[in-house]
Amino acid sequence: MPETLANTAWDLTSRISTSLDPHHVLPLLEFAENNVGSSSAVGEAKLSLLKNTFMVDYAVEISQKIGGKGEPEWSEEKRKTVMASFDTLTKGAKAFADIVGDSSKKKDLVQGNNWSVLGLEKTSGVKADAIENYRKLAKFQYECGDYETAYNMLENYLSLFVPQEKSNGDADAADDYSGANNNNMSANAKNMPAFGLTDITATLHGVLWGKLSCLILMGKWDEAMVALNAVKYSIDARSGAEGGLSALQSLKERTWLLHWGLFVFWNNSKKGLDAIIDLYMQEKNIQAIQTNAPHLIRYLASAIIINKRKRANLKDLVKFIHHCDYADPIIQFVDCLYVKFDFEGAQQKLQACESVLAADFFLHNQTKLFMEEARVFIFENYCRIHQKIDMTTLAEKLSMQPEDAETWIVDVIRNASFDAKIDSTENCVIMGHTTHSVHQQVINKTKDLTARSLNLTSNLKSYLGDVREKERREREAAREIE
Amino acid sequence: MSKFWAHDSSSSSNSENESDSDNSSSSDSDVSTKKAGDTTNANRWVMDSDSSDDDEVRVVKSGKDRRNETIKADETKMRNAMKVKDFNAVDDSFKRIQTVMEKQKVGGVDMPSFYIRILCDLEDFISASLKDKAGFKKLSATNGRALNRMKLQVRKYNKGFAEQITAFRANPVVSEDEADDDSSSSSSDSDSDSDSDSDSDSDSDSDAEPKTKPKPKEAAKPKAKAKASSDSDSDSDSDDDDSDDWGSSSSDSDSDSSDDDINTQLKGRARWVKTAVVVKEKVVKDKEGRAEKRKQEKEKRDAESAAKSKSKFLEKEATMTVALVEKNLNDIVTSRGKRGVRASDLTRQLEALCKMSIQFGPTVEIPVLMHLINSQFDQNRSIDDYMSPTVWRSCAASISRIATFLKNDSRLKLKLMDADDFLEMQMKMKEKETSKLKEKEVLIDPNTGEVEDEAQRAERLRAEAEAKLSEEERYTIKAAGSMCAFMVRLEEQYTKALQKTSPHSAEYVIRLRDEGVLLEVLSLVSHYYEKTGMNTEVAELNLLRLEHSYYKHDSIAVAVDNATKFATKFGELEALHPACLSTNAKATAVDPSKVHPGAASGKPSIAVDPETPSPEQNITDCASFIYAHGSEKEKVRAILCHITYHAIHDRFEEGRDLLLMSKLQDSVATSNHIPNMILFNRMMVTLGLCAFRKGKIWEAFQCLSEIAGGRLRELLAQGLNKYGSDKNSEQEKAERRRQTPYHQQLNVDLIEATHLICAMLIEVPNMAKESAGGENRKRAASKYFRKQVEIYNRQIFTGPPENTRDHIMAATKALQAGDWKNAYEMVANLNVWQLVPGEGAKENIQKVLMENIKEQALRTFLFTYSNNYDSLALESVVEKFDLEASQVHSIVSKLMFNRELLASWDGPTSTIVMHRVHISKLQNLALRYSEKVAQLVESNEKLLDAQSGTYGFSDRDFSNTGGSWNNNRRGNYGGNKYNTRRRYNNGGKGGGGKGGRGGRKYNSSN
Repeated sequence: MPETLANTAWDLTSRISTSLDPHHVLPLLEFAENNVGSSSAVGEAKLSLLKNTFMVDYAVEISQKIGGKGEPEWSEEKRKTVMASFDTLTKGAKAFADIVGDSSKKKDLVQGNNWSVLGLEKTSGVKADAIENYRKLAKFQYECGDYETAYNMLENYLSLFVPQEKSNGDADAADDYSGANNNNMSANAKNMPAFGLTDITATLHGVLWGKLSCLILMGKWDEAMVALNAVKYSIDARSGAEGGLSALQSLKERTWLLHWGLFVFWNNSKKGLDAIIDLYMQEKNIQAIQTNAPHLIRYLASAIIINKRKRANLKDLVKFIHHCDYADPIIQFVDCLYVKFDFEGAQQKLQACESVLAADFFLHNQTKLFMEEARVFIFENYCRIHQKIDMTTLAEKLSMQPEDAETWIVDVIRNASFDAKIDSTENCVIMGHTTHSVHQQVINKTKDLTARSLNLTSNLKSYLGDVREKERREREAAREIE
Repeated sequence: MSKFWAHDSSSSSNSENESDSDNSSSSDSDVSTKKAGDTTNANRWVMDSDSSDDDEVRVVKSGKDRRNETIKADETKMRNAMKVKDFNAVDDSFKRIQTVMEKQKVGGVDMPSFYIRILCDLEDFISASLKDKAGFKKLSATNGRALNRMKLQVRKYNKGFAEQITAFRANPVVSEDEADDDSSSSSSDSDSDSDSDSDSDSDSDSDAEPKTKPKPKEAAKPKAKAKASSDSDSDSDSDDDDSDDWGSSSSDSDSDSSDDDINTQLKGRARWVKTAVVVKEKVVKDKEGRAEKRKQEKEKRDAESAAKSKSKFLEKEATMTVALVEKNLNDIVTSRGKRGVRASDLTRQLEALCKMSIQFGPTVEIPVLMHLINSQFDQNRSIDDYMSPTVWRSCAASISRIATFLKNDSRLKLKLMDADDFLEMQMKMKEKETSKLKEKEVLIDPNTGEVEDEAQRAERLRAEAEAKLSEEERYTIKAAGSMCAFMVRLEEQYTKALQKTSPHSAEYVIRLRDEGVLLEVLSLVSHYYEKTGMNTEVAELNLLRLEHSYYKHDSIAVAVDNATKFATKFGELEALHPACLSTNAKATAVDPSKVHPGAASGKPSIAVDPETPSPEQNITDCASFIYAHGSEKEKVRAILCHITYHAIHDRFEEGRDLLLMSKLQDSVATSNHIPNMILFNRMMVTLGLCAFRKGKIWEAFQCLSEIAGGRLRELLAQGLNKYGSDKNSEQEKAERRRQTPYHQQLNVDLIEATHLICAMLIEVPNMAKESAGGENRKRAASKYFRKQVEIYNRQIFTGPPENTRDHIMAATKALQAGDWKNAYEMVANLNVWQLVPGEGAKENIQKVLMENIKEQALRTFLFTYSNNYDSLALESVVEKFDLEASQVHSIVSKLMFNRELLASWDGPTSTIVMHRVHISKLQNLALRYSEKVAQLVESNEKLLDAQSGTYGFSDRDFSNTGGSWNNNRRGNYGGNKYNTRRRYNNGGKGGGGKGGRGGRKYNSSN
């Protein structure tokens, strides 16, 4: 990957891109282009990426932009092979493509329970290799950059493998998945992971990946989320299965998934933040991060800081950080704040974070939010262990002007219901401490005893009832024998 | 055999005498000597033919036999005397025979035919002697008288047997059977010098009727002819014949007998052919040449007999052929494992054969070497025996020789002998047995029409067979056993030897050098397998390599490697001149007149080859190869070794990741494979030590706590449990076999010190916290440590610390009082830290200790004494604990944050303000009462759980609370743990075990 881009110390583009599809890297590079400005280097990088795809025209365009040398020497040849393979694939897939195009015929087939590879061969004489070609054609379209078409084709292909009974219940489902609304989607995902596919073969596994990729590139984040879960399910299913993924492979695929997920999560602010924490915090994924991609911790840490509700995960995160030998300002910030309690350091790191975040493709939108939350985070921690805080030092720690800081603190105190007061004569914040009184302790200790006793008696009752019932039956049995 | 040869050598001197006397008599050119020679020759011939049938194993002898024997003995004497014309002696012997015969007659037994023959011969001899007037004159007076006396006696005595004698004279050998009866003892001296006359006959005979001649007659005919033809032969000729034959036949018999007993029957046929050649030669060569030749041969004979007495298996290289080597090999190999055949004898024979076979190149030598190796392994019979170092080294040398052959000539390939090959071998053996029967058959080369002996024929057949083979087949050597298996056994023997040798002896140290040899041979052999693409074998060998190198720190490995190279190049260091060992001896310009020349060039040094891969490279290569190609079991071991290797070199993260990825913690314990468990334990301990060196106290404790404890030695297989083990003798023996060789052992003291210090650093603050009473009593992280502290506290009189544990306990005391300086002093200078390899390891450890002790001392101090303070200035704390302000701040903040310390910072003055709550007596009682009530409810719940069968579902609750009930339960739990730990030692069943739990704990700490 392009080394020239690594001029900003904490840029992860090069590290991330190793686990991404070339098509995914393009937006990253475009972002970097805007950021860094060294367009020729970025252009070179783009070219080298495009060399592996079929987007010949785009490549030519870029090469003209950066060097003006005209077309790269491989483009002509590539174009020819691309066209040739397009022709063969289209021809090969024609039989199936026709049926897909003919909606009435398709409907018949679906209703006749023949919408499957076998059924098609029986009824319409569409051979299995035509369908296979159709899949390849979809892949081809994807490579050419026509993600929409590719996506639709993959949908059609996938629908063939959904067991009939399920798709029959909802005839339209097989017809058009993408049309289903979001709620439906999540329900679907819950009930039928991997779109109702039961038996995931290696090919289907690939198709699921393809679908996710298309959705990411199309920017349909909600659907992408569902597709992501499907892939995750598929990896889980296949890594356990016989002849499926080896341990190493599944680790690799998980790493990919975590990377691809970045697109989905950080562009879907509603649910993404929760989802990323949940996904990353899974045992298997932690392993993948630890061994293959420690840099992903940055995103996890950011998500946890931004997402207040998931703060509980911070403790796990700290442990996690402790075990990885990766560090960047965001991680260091957490480390300073939560492990070392070095507020000076934390404040410095926070400033470094700002620039890092702004330069990060995924996080740059969240920079402001992050800074705000981080500040509150510092403040909370600071207050928790102090009883009297000097306003000026606090303002320093929050990297704010003293006047701004005062208003900000007042806001926070009001919002977060801190037990704190500002002593304006001494220019201090005084924390009120709620020590547990002895009464409180006694109450705490005995609070649940009634409930537990109640539970105990009911348990005892039911247990005794069981025993009596048993005895009674035995007695009856004995009597019958007599 | 040796007896046989001893006779032989004596016979050679005899025959010299004889030939001398013959010569002298022949110069006299008298007929009588000729006659005497005839008779003796004839007799010799007969006896010789018997000798092959000689049956040494005589158990029961009848009276007749005994008599016969005495007669034969006397006869021998008599004949000897006859040869030297000692008529006195002849007379004596004759008289003795007579008396014996008288007795026999009384017993009513028939006259044996040989007796008649004796009489006959004697008569002839005497008459001949008498005719020899000149000879008679020369005789001494006593001899002359004896001769005259004899003449009369014999004539008189023979009259009684006139009939038999005439019959005998008509047909010299009455029957073969009787000849068979004939003595063996008498023949032994004349065994090697043989059928001089019959040679010439056999020549003509074989020309006339090559194969049809039946054997028994064959024996008779020549003699008759010899008699007939002897006159026509000139004296000197026959004489020459005699000696020539002697030479050739003796050399024949030499080679044959060295071939081993089985081949002795070969002799007869071979001799025939050889002499035939000689006869031809005789015509061509002049007398002088022959005389010279005779002389040479005599010398040769002398040399041979000397050599023979040294090693009877040594053969003249010139006579060896490939076929002969193969045949001998087969002979030796088939005798393997038979009763009465000692393996060491076989080895010696094979060694000799090996030397012989070198001249024929690797294709011949390798099979012999393979058998040699096999026989070397055969030498130790019981499982607890081990190979002696010398045998081991020669065995290693053999293997490495084979491997070098294979390396140098890439066409060579080894093939394991399969069932067909063995069958073939057996067939050959049978063939040989049958060929024994048609012994005297004459072989003729069908190509050249020339006569050949069996060895030649075999050689020719072999050559023909070889010519038929394709190139590839020719270089495919069929060998018994595989190199890989040999290496495995060699390694086994080596380890066994180390286990049995006292580690404090010089022998052990010397033995350690062989590890280098072993590694070298291993890499050589694995190189061959790699070339042939046999990955499973390579993996196996690589594993062995790995197991013999993983435990060394690189610095040590390199040093050892260099020392080995040095020793192989220059020999022992002690053997060098002391002048060149001085350290300031440099290879600079020195005045040779002032400086010892040895010192002038400085200490000999070996050039370090930059090409040699570093130990790390080696290990990584081996391990990754096994990961790719090895079996599951090999992979497990390789991973364990690899992790250990990482750990030794302070690469904790790599080791840990490898461990976590392989998920061995779960599988090893359930695998029930004890060596793996031991290796796993070793790995865990090493990893723990590594974590400690890196300052990761908690991780170190996690790794060590499962294994370090009472049974550390046992778990690491570094010594048996001294105190009354509950194992039976079999189990004990098995355990003995599993012991780790001393040089691979981990220092138990070091492990214990590390473990206890880790436990101290973790537990002391915890204990302080508990005694402060703020928190709920948590489960002890290290029960072992707590027990040790308890024991230490219980001592009535505490002396100054002596051993490692005492030091740590003293440090614990100091730490509990917050006195970090003393605590540090106690542990920083323990002797065990010197055992840690690597540059500046001790200083590093001291640094780690210092940091951690300070921090934990601060924590302990705060827990213990915070109640006595209202506030604490940051500076005073900084001063007291010699820490950075920021460090103190962070430590204290953490405690505050986690509500372990009820206090908070006062920002502007940077002081710690304690939030102490004064509890009145009533409040205190209320608190305790509430606790008791809670306990009551809990135990009720437990009771019901136990009744309703959901017993134990909340194990953790059990141990979290006090009460006698719980203590009981906890004790049980501990007991279980104990059992599972011990399981491996018993070679017991079922999974669980420390590994699994260790792993889980380890994981949970992530």
